[in-house]
Amino acid sequence: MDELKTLIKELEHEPPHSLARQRLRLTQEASTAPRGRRWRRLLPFGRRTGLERPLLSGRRLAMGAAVAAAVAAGVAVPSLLGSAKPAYALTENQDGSINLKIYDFRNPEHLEKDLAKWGVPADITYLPLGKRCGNNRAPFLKGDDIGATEEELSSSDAATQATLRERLQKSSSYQAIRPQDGITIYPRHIKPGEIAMIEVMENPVTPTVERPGVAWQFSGRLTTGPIEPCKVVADPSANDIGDATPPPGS
Amino acid sequence: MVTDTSPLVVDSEIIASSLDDPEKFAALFDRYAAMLYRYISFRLGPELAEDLVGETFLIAFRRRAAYDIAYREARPWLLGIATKLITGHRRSEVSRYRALERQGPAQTVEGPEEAITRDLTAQGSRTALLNALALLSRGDRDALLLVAWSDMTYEEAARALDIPVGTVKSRLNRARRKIRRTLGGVNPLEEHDHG
Repeated sequence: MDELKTLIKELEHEPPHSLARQRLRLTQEASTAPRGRRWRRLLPFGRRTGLERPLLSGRRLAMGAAVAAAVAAGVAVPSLLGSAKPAYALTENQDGSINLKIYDFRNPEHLEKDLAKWGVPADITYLPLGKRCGNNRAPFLKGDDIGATEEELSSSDAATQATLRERLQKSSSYQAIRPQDGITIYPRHIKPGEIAMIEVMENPVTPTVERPGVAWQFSGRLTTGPIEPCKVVADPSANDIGDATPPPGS
Repeated sequence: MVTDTSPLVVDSEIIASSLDDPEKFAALFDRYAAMLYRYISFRLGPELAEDLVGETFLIAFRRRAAYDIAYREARPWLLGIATKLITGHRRSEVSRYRALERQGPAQTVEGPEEAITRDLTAQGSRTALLNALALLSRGDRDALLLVAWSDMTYEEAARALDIPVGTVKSRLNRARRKIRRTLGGVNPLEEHDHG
């Protein structure tokens, strides 16, 4: 007989339900962690380093955190597509910033007009998730050049990523268009002559708790124009947050 | 609790993808939190176990970039982190064994005379075993309890404890010898079904 095995069985305890609190601790830290190699594509310039994705983008920063929090709490992520709802909602915050929540992906021209009424010249493009604009479309602002080296961009070191993120957040475009609570636009950071160029990518399949995914993502930056039309190309990384688990047959 | 990752995805893939999407790391929690809770609660009791499960995952998360994805199973890695945290609470562990020695097992002794004799013998070896565990050096105790609890190989234990395989073997031998001595020549880890 194995006394030690018997003792182990006697002394160990079954996990309590409150262990879920520790999961929350982890997801809270994870939701604020730098998003690894993806930062390469988040940066507001491309030509100097030859990077493919030139837009400052809030890709799934907000939505990714929301999905994770919802999973932790065990509730469903609400559908972003609803015919009863308006296509989008604009609200002004106390600090003068404008919050944009998109419920349905239609009518970008109408949204542009509404934003203009709030004093924000905007260029909105809607695309299905999995596509993106392959061209730079418009000139970059000086204040978006954060001077990162190729080495820094490909680094997986947490400290390097943190400083990179800090610099990114100081860029002119990030000051004006932030991935907070959906999309939050700060008109006071948009100088006369500058246009907020925003691309929104929608996932036709609404993510659920069982099958988390990217509901939508956006890219945005400021430019002085002129803005060329979007040349649509495939973006295979678009659904990264949910496709670690390709369900069979999907 | 919701698991957002298919059981077909191996641990190393979860860790690798969490470098890009940190939230994905939670899938490891769903796989291993209960297992870690059992291990930590066995050694430290339920009071400390819950918090240390959380600590284990936070440490693992922060070190995930250094994980060698050649190892598909994250279990030894996580148990190794938990073991190091337990070592930091070794005074609590030792006083837990001492307290359990005094208390005796939870169930009451009842029944025919033979059963009483058997239970008393078991209780005697239980007390001796707890005493021996309390007396082991922390390195020997970590190696013995990690391997006995998890049934991992020497190689896995070496990786978990970040020590050479030879050290694992010598610690296990020494720990088993001491335990055997206190139990009167019976090796608690000898598998009788091996023949």
